[in-house]
Amino acid sequence: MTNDYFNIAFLCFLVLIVGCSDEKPKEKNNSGPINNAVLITTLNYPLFYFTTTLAGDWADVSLPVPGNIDPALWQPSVNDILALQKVDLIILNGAGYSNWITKASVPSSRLIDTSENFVDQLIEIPSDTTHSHGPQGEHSHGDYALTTWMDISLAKKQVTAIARALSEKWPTHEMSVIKKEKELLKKLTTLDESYHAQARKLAGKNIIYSHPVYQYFERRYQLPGYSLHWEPDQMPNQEQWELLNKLSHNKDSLLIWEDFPSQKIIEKLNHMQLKYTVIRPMANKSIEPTLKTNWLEEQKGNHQRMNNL
Amino acid sequence: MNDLLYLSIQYIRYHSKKLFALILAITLVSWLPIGIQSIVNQTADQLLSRAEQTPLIIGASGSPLELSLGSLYFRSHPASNLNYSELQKVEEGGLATAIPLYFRFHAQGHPIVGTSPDYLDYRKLRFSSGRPMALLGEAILGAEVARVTGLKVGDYIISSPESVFDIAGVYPLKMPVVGILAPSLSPDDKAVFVDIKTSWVIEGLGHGHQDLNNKKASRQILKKEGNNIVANASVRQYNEITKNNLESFHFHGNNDTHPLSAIIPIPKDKKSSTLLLGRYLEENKDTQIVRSKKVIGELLDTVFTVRDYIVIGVFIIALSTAAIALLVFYLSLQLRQAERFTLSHIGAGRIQIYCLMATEVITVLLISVGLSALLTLGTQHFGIQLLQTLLLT
Repeated sequence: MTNDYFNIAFLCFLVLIVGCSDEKPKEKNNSGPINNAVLITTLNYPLFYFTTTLAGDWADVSLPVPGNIDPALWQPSVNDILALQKVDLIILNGAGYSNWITKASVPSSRLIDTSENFVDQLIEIPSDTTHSHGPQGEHSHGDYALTTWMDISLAKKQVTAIARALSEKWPTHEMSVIKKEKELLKKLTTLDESYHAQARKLAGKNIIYSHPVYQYFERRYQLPGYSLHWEPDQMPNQEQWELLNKLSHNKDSLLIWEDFPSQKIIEKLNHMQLKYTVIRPMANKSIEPTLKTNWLEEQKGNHQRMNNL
Repeated sequence: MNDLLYLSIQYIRYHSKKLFALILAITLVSWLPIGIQSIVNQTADQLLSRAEQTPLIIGASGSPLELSLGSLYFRSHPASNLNYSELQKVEEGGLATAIPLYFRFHAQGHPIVGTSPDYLDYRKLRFSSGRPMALLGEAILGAEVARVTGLKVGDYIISSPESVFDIAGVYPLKMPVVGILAPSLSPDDKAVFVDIKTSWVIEGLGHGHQDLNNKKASRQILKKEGNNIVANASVRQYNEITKNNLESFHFHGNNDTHPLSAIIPIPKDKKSSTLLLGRYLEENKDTQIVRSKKVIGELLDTVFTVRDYIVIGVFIIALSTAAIALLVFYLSLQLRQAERFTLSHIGAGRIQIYCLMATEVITVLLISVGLSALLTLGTQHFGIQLLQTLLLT
């Protein structure tokens, strides 16, 4: 009888212990990278080049935009945005470039707008429409021209903005960043002077741009022109050729392409006896595997092609 | 010894109801003061740990307690808002990373907390399903919100209008649930998290609507002023952000003036923390910075005072219970006089009789102490969870 009581008591004790245990639900780990590498993401190739030059030896700098896509038109996927939430710094061009950022959940503390310090020098697109609600309502924002780096003086300011952000966030690398910033600014100054020199030779020419990506270039180097909406790999239609003919007829004209046009287009241009050259903004890395170069070398290539005219 | 044990057990079985009542009374009065202390201390620890995890909070000038309680527990919204530009000021100079908070709105009674993805890492919140918010309009639910509403990843949650009668006020926004947080035993379990910009969309500071350049929108146009189209009030605004209309969403005016309830600054180091404190203590009459641990500590001092009074009251009750228990034992002994006489006459020794009489007292005391110890252990491990479950149901 006594043993029965003890057995029952022991069983009750066991039930109490087992019943009161709590199972933790399965948890998903949302922690970031395991290692402590500094991760910096840039959103176009010039910024990638600048950042790599300043911090490439101690930071992992990336450009997530696929090579065959214009970074200005790139729309990241959800996974791309989740990856951006994990990086230490995101370098933005500003001027409305990567406008998707206003609809993405990314901490503002990681964003560096490299155009923030020269907002007054941004070029508004004059034909763009804004709207407001009611007579007293605030306007929506108009758009700006995007390719700020084509004005090398603004590109230098973007370099300075990146250098300042890197130094503030990682003060242990400040001396190295400052040194590399000085070197890069010197190279860009040389490039700026080269563009000025080449632009002076083209003064007076009737400039036609293949695509509206040269607004800052036009302003900086005093080479105003008419912008078409042509793609270098797409044969323009009859109407477009007629427009070009109208714009260039009986004038000392120069057609500036954002990239090398297709052979058929070259043949047509040669037939029209219209001079052309290529000045590549290089918003994205080249996808040609044989073209081992960087943004600065490409700009020097632009200068060389202008020199060869 | 076996005979003694047998007689004791038979006595206990026969008087089980009386002994049960005595055990219950003694267990409760011995456990209550310890249990109350334990629960209050655990609650205080939880409150303080939340405050310790959030040493500084920046808000508009006003009650530090209201700011702390609102920012830590999302209970109430401060009377005045901060401007978003304040967040940028905090981050300027690299003194601190700043996490925005805007918790004005609710969804089915649960606070909607507009913040940045940094908040999830800051609170070390993990997911039981789904992922963090990535796009405007997405929501993630605290564990308790998911349990109460029954919502899962892929479902939708709709923000509640602030007032049923304010038809020109805040429109409800239908938000897809993209993640459910794992339980954290914190106020985060009871909140719905969205990006800070989504909370501004709920407020009406951002919206999406049909393209006014489109010919179909001609009836929605009041007038044209140069390149600006002035829309009239008939423009239909989207109450759900989808992949198809995401591009159309935009904000009017400057983000700098958009509202925040509070900012959690995460200083880089102690020096930066001191500099930040100094900046706010010197400069600002419109904003304040509070040390949440100090504010919550002052609140807890009041709670502890109340606790002490309750414990004293329970202690007095315990004394009276002890007196009654002694009386019961004394009366029980008196009633067992005939039993002692019989035992003596059938040959039981004096010590054996004393042991038998003492069985009742020892059994009651041992079981009471044992149960009290078990209850105390249980309170220490499960007390807060049980209390929270009871309060929630």
